[in-house]
Amino acid sequence: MSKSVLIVDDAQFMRTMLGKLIEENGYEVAGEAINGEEAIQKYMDLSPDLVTMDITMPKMDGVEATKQILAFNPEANVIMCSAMGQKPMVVESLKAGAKDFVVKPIKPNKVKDALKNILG
Amino acid sequence: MKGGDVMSNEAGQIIVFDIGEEKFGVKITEVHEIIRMKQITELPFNSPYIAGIINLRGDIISVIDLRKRFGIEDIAEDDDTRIIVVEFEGQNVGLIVDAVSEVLHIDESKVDVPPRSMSGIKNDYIRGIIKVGEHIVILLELANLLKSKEKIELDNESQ
Amino acid sequence: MDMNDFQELYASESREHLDLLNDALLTLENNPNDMEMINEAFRAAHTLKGMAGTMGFDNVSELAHAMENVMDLIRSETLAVNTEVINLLFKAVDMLELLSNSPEETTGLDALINELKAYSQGDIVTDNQNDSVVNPSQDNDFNLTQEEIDMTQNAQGNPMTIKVKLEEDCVFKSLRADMVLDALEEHGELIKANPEIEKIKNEEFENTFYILFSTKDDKDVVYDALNSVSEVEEIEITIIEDISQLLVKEDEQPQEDSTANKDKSSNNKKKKPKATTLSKRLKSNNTIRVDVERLDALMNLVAELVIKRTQVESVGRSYNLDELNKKLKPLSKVTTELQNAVMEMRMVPISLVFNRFPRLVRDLSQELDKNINLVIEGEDTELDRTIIDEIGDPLVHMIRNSIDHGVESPAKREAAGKDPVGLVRLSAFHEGNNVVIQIQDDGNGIDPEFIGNMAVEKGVISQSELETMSDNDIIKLIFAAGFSTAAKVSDVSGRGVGMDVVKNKIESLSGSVDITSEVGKGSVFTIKLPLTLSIIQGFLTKVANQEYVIPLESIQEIVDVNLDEIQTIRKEKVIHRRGSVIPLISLRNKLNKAVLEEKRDEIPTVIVEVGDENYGLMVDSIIGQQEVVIKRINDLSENLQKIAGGAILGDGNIALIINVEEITTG
Repeated sequence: MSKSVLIVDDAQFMRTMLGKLIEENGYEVAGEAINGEEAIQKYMDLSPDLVTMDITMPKMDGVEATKQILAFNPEANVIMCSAMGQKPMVVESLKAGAKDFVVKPIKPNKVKDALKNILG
Repeated sequence: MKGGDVMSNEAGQIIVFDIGEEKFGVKITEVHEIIRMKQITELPFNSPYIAGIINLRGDIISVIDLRKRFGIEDIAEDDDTRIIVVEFEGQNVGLIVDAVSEVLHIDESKVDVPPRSMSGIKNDYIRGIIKVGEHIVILLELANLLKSKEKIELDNESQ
Repeated sequence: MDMNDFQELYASESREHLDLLNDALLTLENNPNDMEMINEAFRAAHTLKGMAGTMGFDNVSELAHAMENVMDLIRSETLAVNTEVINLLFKAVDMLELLSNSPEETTGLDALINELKAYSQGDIVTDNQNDSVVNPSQDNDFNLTQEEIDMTQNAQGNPMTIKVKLEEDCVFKSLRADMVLDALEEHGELIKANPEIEKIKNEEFENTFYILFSTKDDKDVVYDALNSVSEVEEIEITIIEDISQLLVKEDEQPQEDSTANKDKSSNNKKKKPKATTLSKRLKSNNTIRVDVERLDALMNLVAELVIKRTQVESVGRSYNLDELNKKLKPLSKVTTELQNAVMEMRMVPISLVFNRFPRLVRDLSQELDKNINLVIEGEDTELDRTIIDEIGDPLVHMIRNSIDHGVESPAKREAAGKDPVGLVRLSAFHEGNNVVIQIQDDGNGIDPEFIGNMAVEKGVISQSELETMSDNDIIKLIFAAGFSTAAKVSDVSGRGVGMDVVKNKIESLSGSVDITSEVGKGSVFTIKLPLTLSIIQGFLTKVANQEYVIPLESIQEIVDVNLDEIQTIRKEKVIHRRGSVIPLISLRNKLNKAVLEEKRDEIPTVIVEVGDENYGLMVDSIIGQQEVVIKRINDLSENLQKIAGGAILGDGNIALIINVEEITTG
């Protein structure tokens, strides 16, 4: 059974892109969430092997959501999807336990590597 | 025969059809499909060359009688009569023709300017002529053909 | 993976975010302190930047980035919201829109970006670019003090130098380096780094750095640990045989680095915006996108189902099959519900069209120096999506007209005792089977005298015709072909596109447009559009061997008119009915058909209501009530006013739908 990924991003475009990348690399898309709140809920429902987490989102941002997911499951694999000026937030997320990050605009090979490094 | 079924390089292919003694051609890319004659519902007040409308798989499309359009005497339809459905400004329009003969691949560089007797008509619905074997095929400029409201007089020498 | 696959998705997503941005800016203009709006605008620009970057549209990305910076300044209250800034941001939005559709149209892009940058005074949302990039001094050389050598030898492990090269395009280099260092620390001790740790943390290195490391673990283990860090391109591990070789004399210590360890990134970073609104425009997972073509296909299928059902029903009736008729009733109910459900899927709120207008009106008002208050009502009113696509342009044109020609300048208005702010009201509502859209203005109205004279001048009507026309009719001449009051082609009023084009467009949608006006007070344009293009109830009749459908909504009653009932008043054939006089109209006559040869005592007549008047339409025979699917007829001859459309009957034949208004008054 292939590993599953929960995609969290408020832009449909990004979700679709990431979804395609994930599937192309042999993983499954467990589900999608459009804000931090939904991300946490879906994480608990779906128990994905990995979460890709956008940072800027309405209702609850990615950093907060990451913290909560890790509080729920310290072993959770979270990869932050950050924009250029968001380094401190990535730092914060990594400190909280996020495993890796990719910077937008995302490059397919970087996503591939990040996924591979964690999911194998 | 459906235009869409023709494979590979569509550019430069034309569908040749007969009206009276003349052969005409339209670009295959403009042809949506070719069907047999069907029941035509007449419309009141139409110009004489608009034969009426037909039911094409649930859609209503207008049909033009090209014989009338070109001022050729009407004949009874027969087994060969066809309606060529072309696309024009996003809509489908049917052209009643005597027969559809073939699909030809033409070399655009061999297309000639139409002779004076034909080009005496104001609208340039003829984009050129091309010799195919022993015949001359008159290539139609659909947009102008369908836009113009006037009857087009063809040189009757070929009749 | 091909970026082209995403073109459509990118285009529509961009569209959504651009709309959001537009709205946010509009609101912001009137409420400069609305934090919510600022954040929405910021997020929208941010998302657009990301999407464009991913698609490779660097110019769009750059522009969005510049906008984002400006908005960040607004967010941090470093920059105040004023008309200048808003105008500039609007300019940027327009350019973004233009670039989304035509990426080559970069004229003025650089200037615009520079203008934006002038506001934001340099890139405050930094990418952590530092001026000092230090390259490692020499390849493998570490200059160690004796202390450091001692430290290394005391460390329980084998010393090695590790060369780490990050990927060229790595953005958060210090973060990656951190991750590398963290990974190493799990396997041993970090002794020294080249460049120094501080410099690495400040990203003062190009791509490569060296670590002097001591570990008990195997070289391979260390290698694997480093390899699992993303964006690491090259790892080179060299075991150190003799550490004392790296000793350096005391007075050759590398210079102290005086730059304070400032984490530049934290300076100007503001708190993450905690957004409180979820813009309702962003799709939630409760909706799915469906291809319009698929919806149309579904519509057609349902329409066919309706026809087939009708056929079965008629068989049941003809043969008096009671059992069948009974069973057909619930079937009928279900198909009707299915029909409604599908039609509802195609219904979209008119706000999709209306939402262009605040911006349009604002821009036009500025351009023409008019003061306009735009009121929009009924934006939730729904109509068929195919109509939505087509009604936009006519509405734009009419609103432009109102603002350009209708509403007077503030000075003129004041002189006339009016409020200097002109009112343009755009409203939509359902009425019967129609959607009604009204554009009302309180401008100077349309002057029948002016229009009348213009029309005669342009040869649209003759002077004598003019004299027979009522003021109302004269005003309607603005819809006539060949009529345009713009003296020169005014770009604002849409390049001289006439109202006749608007009228044609609306009529092609089976709708109608009318106008009432009062000089000095204003004008009202009323557009009526059918709620659904598709299915209507009607009575099927036969005239000269052709079936015709008369829409049920116009029918008052159906009677057989006796020949001796018919009277002739002023050359018109009429009958008396319930105290009123009803003119009779022969459809054969109106449809240009030959007179019926056989003499009849009774003539089936359908009495219809048009406006306030009743008319009796005489036909050859009446077939029965029928539900039909209306199909538009492509009118090549433009002669088809009396026919509203075609309907495909159960047997595949086409019945023509009578345009009752035209056939009675035309």
